[in-house]
Amino acid sequence: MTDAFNYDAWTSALERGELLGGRCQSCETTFGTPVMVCPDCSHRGLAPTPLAETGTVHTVTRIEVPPTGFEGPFFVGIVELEDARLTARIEADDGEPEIGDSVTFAGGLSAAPDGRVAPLFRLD
Amino acid sequence: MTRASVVGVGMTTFGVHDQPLPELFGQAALDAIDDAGVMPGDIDSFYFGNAMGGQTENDTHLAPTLATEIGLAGIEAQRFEDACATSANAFKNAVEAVDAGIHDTVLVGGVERCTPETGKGTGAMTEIFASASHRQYEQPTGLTFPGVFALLTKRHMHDYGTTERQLAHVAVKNHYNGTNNPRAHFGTETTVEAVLDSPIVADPFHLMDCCPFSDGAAAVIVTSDDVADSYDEPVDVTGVGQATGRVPLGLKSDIHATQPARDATATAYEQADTTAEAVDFAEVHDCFTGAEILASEAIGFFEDGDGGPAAEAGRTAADGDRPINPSGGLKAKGHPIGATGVSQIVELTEQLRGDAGARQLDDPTRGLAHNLGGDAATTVISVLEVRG
Ligand SMILES: [Zn+2]
Repeated sequence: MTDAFNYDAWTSALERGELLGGRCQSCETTFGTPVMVCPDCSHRGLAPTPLAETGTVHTVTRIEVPPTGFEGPFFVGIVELEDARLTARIEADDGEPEIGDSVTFAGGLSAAPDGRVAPLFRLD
Repeated sequence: MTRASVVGVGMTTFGVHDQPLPELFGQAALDAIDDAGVMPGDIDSFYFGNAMGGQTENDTHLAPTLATEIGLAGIEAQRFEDACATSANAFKNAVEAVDAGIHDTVLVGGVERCTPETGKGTGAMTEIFASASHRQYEQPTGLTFPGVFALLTKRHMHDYGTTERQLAHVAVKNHYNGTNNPRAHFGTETTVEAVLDSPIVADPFHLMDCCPFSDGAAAVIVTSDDVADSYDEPVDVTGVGQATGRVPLGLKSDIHATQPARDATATAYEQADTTAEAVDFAEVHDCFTGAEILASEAIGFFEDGDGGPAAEAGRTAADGDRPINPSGGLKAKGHPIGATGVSQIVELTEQLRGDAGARQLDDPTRGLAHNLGGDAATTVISVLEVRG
């Protein structure tokens, strides 16, 4: 049995600064986060695959009232990386990220009070 | 075809309550029991919803506690949790059990406290609400619940040209409806300018685009079609659909379609042998103004992309051609999470009986309730009708 592509594999990669998605070995769809069974074709077991590190903003919001333990305001969006999407933090040196803007993966961000890591993208 | 009937309703005011959950729920439940005129010994089972009592008040295993409070200890009881769709799912399961002949008469209800009466402030409650987004793949980003619906709404605005002003019209309309609802959390009107001038929570949502944190309870008595004849003014449940969708957001193919709402609507309309055109009004889950626009399209009241212009044109007002949220909706009536789904059933029942007072619509015969949970990944759609 090959190593399962699971939360531990995804988050460990993110902590190393790598962005992994899961590729279905049957229908070949790529997903931004692990799942045990392919949502599209029910095949069991997605293989880890490096995601494209540049993509576009599918949607984004500026959160002004954050949960306890987070420093706001900040941008959270869904980024589209070829056919995969995932929820991520988006940073911009100036201006605001908007739908359709290009973004580049910038590593894992430990902003949560418990230190859990989230993907970080930067506006190009 | 009638699957079950609602023969009694009860509901507290939504707002700030200092009573503990059992006493708050007891008020709504005893009102429903009295409204129906049902004998306690005739209630076979209790379908109960509470979403977050464990996190907010360190209070779990509530079903037998609440049953004891209202003299029903000993009967079957079960508690449901599906985020904001919690008590609609309790209602769905109750209708199915009655329709299947398992029970004749059941109590269905929900209760929740979300205001600082719980001891939790806005930051802590925002964190608790965020627990309905994906623990591993969304929560570490700092995504909040207003943020989730902001993401869906921003994409809708991008694809269809929906505007912040159109969103604000939803808040203005629901606040106006709330002034006619003595149980509403907010009983004051607002304006488009006041909404747009209020501080941003998660863009495009201003504070006034968001429903409040509320405390409250709602309960209904549901019976089989046969048993309903022995009660005054039963209202028939002709369809209840429920569907789920993918979580987290990144796995959904079309985020603003709120596909579970579309799937559950199709099921409910098929059971009720009806169509959107034949539904006179709806209570929908307007946790945020944008959510009402998405819901109005998902239930088929408007074509995709027409929800925003329809709201701005007044078509969803109580005197419009497609009334939505005559109760004031979550926005003005309030949103005590686990009570919201059943409170929609209370509103449908009162409107269909002609008992809605100042907010009574013009002789409706069929209404729809749309109650969603989380990022809309759970949605329950119920169709209720005047008994034929
Ligand atoms: Zn597949």
